[in-house]
Amino acid sequence: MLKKYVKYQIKKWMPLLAVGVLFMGFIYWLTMAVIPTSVIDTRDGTAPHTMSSSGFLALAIPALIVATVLPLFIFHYRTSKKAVDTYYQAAFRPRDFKRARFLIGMGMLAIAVTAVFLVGFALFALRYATTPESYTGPYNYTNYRVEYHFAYVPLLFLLVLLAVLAQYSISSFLVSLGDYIFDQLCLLYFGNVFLGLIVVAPYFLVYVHMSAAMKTFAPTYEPFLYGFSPIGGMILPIQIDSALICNYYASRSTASFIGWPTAIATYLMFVAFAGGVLVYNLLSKDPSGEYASLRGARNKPIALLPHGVALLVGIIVSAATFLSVRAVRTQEATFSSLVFVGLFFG
Amino acid sequence: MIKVESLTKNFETVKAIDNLTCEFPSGVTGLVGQNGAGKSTLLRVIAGIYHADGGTSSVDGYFSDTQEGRAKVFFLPDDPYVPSGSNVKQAFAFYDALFDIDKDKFYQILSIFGLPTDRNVTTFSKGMKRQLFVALALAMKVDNLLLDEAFDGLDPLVVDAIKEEIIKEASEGKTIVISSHNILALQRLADRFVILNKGKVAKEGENEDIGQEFVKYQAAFTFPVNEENIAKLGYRVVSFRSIGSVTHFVIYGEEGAEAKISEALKPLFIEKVPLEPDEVVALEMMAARKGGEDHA
Repeated sequence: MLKKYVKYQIKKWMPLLAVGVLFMGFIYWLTMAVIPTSVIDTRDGTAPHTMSSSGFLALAIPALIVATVLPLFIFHYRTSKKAVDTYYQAAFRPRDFKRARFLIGMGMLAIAVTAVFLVGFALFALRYATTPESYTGPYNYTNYRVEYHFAYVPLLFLLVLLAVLAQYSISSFLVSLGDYIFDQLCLLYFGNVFLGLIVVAPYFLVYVHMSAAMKTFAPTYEPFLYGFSPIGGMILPIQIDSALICNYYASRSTASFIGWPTAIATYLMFVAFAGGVLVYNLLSKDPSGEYASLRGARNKPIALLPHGVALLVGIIVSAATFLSVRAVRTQEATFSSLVFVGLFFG
Repeated sequence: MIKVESLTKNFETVKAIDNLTCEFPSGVTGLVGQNGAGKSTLLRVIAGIYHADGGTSSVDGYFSDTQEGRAKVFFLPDDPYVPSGSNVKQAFAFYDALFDIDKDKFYQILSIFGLPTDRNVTTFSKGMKRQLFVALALAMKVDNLLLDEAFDGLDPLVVDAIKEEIIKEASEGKTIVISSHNILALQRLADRFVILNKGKVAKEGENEDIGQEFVKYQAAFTFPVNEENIAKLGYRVVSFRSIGSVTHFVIYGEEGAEAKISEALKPLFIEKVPLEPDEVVALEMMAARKGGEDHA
């Protein structure tokens, strides 16, 4: 029976898949389109060198946004008593149903990201075939030839895809904790922020970095605050894009090179954490539908979410007001800039 | 056959179902009770949507919260779900993906109701929606149907059309449980009734047995008579109401009380009057509250 439902869902989600492909593709293909015009960058006037990004990373941004938001659609049924009345009486276990929905979303996401990438890569290959000189820099800064190494693009894509699916898994876990739309939104937003700021990651990274620092380039910034956020999952793809595909550091300075051990550790931590969450998503029991559209009935602390959000907004507004007034008094900011900041916080 | 044994279901501090035991054999059973009596909760437990906190519920020998149990029953809630923007065909496709439905039968029942298949379900009136979902429910390839508030707010013509289809299904040996807070809606349809009160069975039995234990009198007395005066004569008063000089009261299971009351209280007149069906439900619930089940 579940197979029949999965088939139905795949058919039903095709339009959403198309929208996802168009959304991700629009940003990705737009970025790819501008690359040939700016392969050689001489903005700093020191020397010509390759670009810092091949453009293949551009897919990651819309893909991560979709991966973060998609679970809201996947687990929306849990906020509807009517929907749950229907789904939870069907002849399969609620946990199987939840797992099926989760995997359908994951499959759709993987297909959309791959489709967008393949089309983008095909377009890129076409351009490369017609104007190869745009992609191979005859210039050098450190006395050796620099050029794009496209052989690493599939690796970059796989790492981005894995990070996207990891983010989907984490967001799915957060959203599935809520049985009420407001709760799901709050859990998704604050959960991701919290995981990005979680302190376990920095300590672990300090250890990894210190043990490896002597053998790598000296770091000028640390990805300590990325935690289990998708930014942490993007450190390694960024590194591969810059260092391996574009040869950016070979052609220029190494000022922002964070070191392979740190980049790999950051990425692995994010993916490993997401892997744990994935296992939970797949194996955890799903409570019966009696909690649908009820706040905090299943997870008691979630009942306090509105109070927590109100408190947080209060603190932010108070702090913003205090800082704004002080800034105006000390003439550190103009009134218009404060209005902008106020709108931003709002 | 649906069996419920010592079933308990709590929602935080509220006891929605309280150690309830009853059976639903094949045929049509009316599940009656006031709002909040636990009817919908009981149906959801039987359908496997809710988990019982205590006791068991089984459908054709399979526990309700198992895949096998769920496969044996279909529950139609009072406000069923359909994906937004669906027309009848799309609504059918959605339910068909989740349940085993006889497509031909569905469209056959739909044609009896005369519903358009290409219109968005959200544009349907309440009666049309109800007809659509009843058609879906009746086309399900299951032997047990649970219909929650099936006739709530529907006009008599629609009710009659639906009743006719339900009777056809029941005659094929299906078990159909229809919940309602209004027993009148289930008249001439249900073979038997289960009356719930505060999560417990207040009364259950065949259609003709329901309310037989009550006797209603209409009387006019020459002096003020209250409930206690009747009770002192040894009768259990379930209901007592005076409007002007006429008093209506219902006593529990005592035939021939007329003579005894006449002798003791010397009324101007006293006569037995028939009970209305909705009165019966109210009386069963009142009797249950007053401990009438001990006498049953």
